[in-house]
Amino acid sequence: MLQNLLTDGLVIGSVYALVSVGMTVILGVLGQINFAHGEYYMAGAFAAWWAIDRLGLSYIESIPLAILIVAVLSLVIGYVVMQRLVDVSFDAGIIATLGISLLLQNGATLLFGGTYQVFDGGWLAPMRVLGEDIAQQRILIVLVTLAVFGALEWLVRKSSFGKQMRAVAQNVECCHVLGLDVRRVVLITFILGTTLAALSGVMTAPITMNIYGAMGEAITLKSFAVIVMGGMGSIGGTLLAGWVLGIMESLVAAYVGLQFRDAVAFTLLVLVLMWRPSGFFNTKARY
Amino acid sequence: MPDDANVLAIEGLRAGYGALEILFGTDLLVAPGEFVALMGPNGAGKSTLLKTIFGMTAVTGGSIVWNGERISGRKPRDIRRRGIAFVPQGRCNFPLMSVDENLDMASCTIPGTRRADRDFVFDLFPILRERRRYPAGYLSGGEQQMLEMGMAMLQRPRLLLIDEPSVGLSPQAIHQVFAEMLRINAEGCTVLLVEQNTRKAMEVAKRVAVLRLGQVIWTGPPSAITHQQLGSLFMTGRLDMAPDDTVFPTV
Repeated sequence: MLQNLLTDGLVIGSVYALVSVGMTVILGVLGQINFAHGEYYMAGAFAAWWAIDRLGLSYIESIPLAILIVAVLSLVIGYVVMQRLVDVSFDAGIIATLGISLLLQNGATLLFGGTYQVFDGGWLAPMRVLGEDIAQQRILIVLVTLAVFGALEWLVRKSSFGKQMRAVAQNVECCHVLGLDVRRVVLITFILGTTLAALSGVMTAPITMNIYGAMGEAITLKSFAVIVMGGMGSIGGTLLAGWVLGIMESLVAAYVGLQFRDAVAFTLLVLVLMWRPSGFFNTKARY
Repeated sequence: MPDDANVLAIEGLRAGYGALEILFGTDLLVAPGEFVALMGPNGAGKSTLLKTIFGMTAVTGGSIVWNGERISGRKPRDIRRRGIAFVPQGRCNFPLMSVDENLDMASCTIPGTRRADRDFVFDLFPILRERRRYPAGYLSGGEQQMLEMGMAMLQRPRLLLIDEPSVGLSPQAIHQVFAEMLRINAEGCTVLLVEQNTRKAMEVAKRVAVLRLGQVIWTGPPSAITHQQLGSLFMTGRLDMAPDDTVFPTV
């Protein structure tokens, strides 16, 4: 029973980590919380559903297509809105991203209707791992998450673009003096962050099965809790914080009551802000 | 054209931030290899002039010509590629990145920088070679100033714009920074320095230009002006403040 709960928590935690790390990189580079982040998770799930249900593609084909669609969507939003947020106040960023959130949620409802849609895809056949039956899709989520985090660590630490991301995060003024194209770095980082949310949405939809326009709301708020716990900008911290949240939720749902599950993130958020506002895994600063 | 080589000619320059104009018709001619100290009271527009030469403010009138080519209105990136480097006031580095990574950032926007250029910077500032794996934020104030000058020198500029390099440094570090500027200048790079420490600046500069209310009101060699006259220029705009001239109105 306990082992079951822990694996469950690990899978859900991986989903949270994958979405949240996108929010983390955007926060790091742009200095803004993307309050529309869950909407890209929703858009990813809807794009894949549309590809499967309307175009008749297979699940595996729908994944790259969904990511491409969200990438184009965030290219437009990034160009029109997010690039301008580099040197505006924090509250202007909140208003702008909340506005995008409303647009995307209602856009999805207009396009696909206000009812739940059933996501028909994924690999749900069970696999025996450590004496337990787990759906293949769940194992895949954990593996993809680990691979993405490994790749991200490499990207940020070693690659030339990653260095530019850290440079923009640490001193925008100095980037201007050196002639670094700050807007380009912001745009690419934003697309990277939103496509990670979309990937998470596509990977999770087969497990949650139902998708709807407002499904991203809770994800945005939980991601916010995760990145605060993870130390606001730490990539490794985000993974651990995602897992902590997933496992705590799964334990609370089993031993306290299902209705308390969604309160876990916010309780943790309040506790962290009270006792350790720099997060569990403080890196002292972004990146 | 050879007459224009590495000459900086600023004529009737008007510039500022948005609706706020700071420079009102600034004129300044800097010859190749000169070491010019820009001085003036707070708010005179010294830093704004450096930023404007480097393309970081909005030019509303006049022109900046460098090397025979008009550069006003261009972006910092293009201006850097034309052999002008800028070390702004305050800390301008990436504190959590190593010295090496900071230099990577300085070179990634200049095509064609090579290993040799890195060695050139390390030879100029040997302390940076020792500290190359340390995060910039762990260096002392003087070392960070050297790093920022190193980031500027990486592209081997022919004109170095440097804003208040002595702020917040220990006396020894200030001494070293000024010695480095003299050495850079001796190697043929023109230096345009903004400095509050007028005594120090007048020791090193070949020429002083006094800026007041956005205009250059006096220029000449440091030997041609006393500190008292400089003070008078700052406050009244005139060299010959009579002893009974009241700077501050008496009640």
